[in-house]
Amino acid sequence: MAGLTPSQTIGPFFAAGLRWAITATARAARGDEITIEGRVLDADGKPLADALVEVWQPATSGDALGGLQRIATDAGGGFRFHVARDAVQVNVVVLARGLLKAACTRVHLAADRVPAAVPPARVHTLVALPTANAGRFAWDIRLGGEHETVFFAL
Amino acid sequence: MRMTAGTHPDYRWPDYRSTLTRGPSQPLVTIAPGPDDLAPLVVPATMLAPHDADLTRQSTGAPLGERIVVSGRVIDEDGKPVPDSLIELWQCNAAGRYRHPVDNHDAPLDPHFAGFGKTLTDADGNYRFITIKPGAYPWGNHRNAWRPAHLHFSLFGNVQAQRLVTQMYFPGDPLLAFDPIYHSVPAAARERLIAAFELGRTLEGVALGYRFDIVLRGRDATPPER
Repeated sequence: MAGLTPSQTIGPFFAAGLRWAITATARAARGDEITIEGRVLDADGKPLADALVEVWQPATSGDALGGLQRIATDAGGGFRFHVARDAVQVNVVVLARGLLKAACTRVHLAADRVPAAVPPARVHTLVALPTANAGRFAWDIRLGGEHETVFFAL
Repeated sequence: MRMTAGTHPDYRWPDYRSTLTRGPSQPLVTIAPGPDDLAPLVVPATMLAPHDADLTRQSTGAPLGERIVVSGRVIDEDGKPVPDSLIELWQCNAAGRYRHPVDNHDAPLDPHFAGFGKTLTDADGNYRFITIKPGAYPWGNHRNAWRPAHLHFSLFGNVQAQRLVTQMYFPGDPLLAFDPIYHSVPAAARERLIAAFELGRTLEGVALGYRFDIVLRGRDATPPER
């Protein structure tokens, strides 16, 4: 067995280099999709203005780059992506300065779809909630603090 | 004694300050990969622009600095090649400055160097970039902190579970001894991040050659024990 190459942080300066795929995968919600909006927050609740969020769904024929949506958080830590209303598994990967390796999570539209291995008290961190706007759900990614999002060893 | 077994850094590494508020502190939850984690990842070659793998030829003129060629092979931990997979590269210029709005290091930008590129591995997992050796630069982590020269690599592999973001360092760099990001990696695995100088990879009269082989998880790897 060859020795695995270790992970290192993406750092604060990835924007220009990785933008091509942010642009290529940006799109409007499709007819069978809902939109998830939220912020990436640190342990003190402070938004990350320099995080990269990569969302993976099963590939469809209209995709630019498989099932990937790559999003750079905005100045307020905000992100937005679209997922199939009946999605079974939506993988979400967070990369940022201060993260020495990817933080891998999943988002669900209902608590009963969260993997059984997740402790019951933390299930809510993986569930996007409907908002007053039809087709829009809210979900924050918390890298620490009382409601730290569940991250997976995959 | 601190546990330093394994390959990857822990999320929290106190010498790298921002890990303390950004690194998750709850235990990771182990789950088996779902079918999507192991679905093939195909990146169309149409995503590549003509000089994406040669960062010295993306402008109307030549960038300043020492030209280098960085090449190697991407394999998985079972030794199998990782073919047709996307590698993204980004870096600062020879003076230690990124073309990025929040980089306020007092060093000049190079109008002929953007500092990023991408390529696909070939059928045998091989890749090659031509670029400029990046400079060292100061950062605010601690007093008199300087990052060693490094290239940022982002790899997609052939399946989602192989995704990796890392940094490549240069052999003999005296700043490695002081860099908390490099030292966040367990000692036994750290040197895998240092490229090897190879005269045989040097383009005679053009660019010094470095080899940086990269090993990703096996396609069917099970989650690591925690």
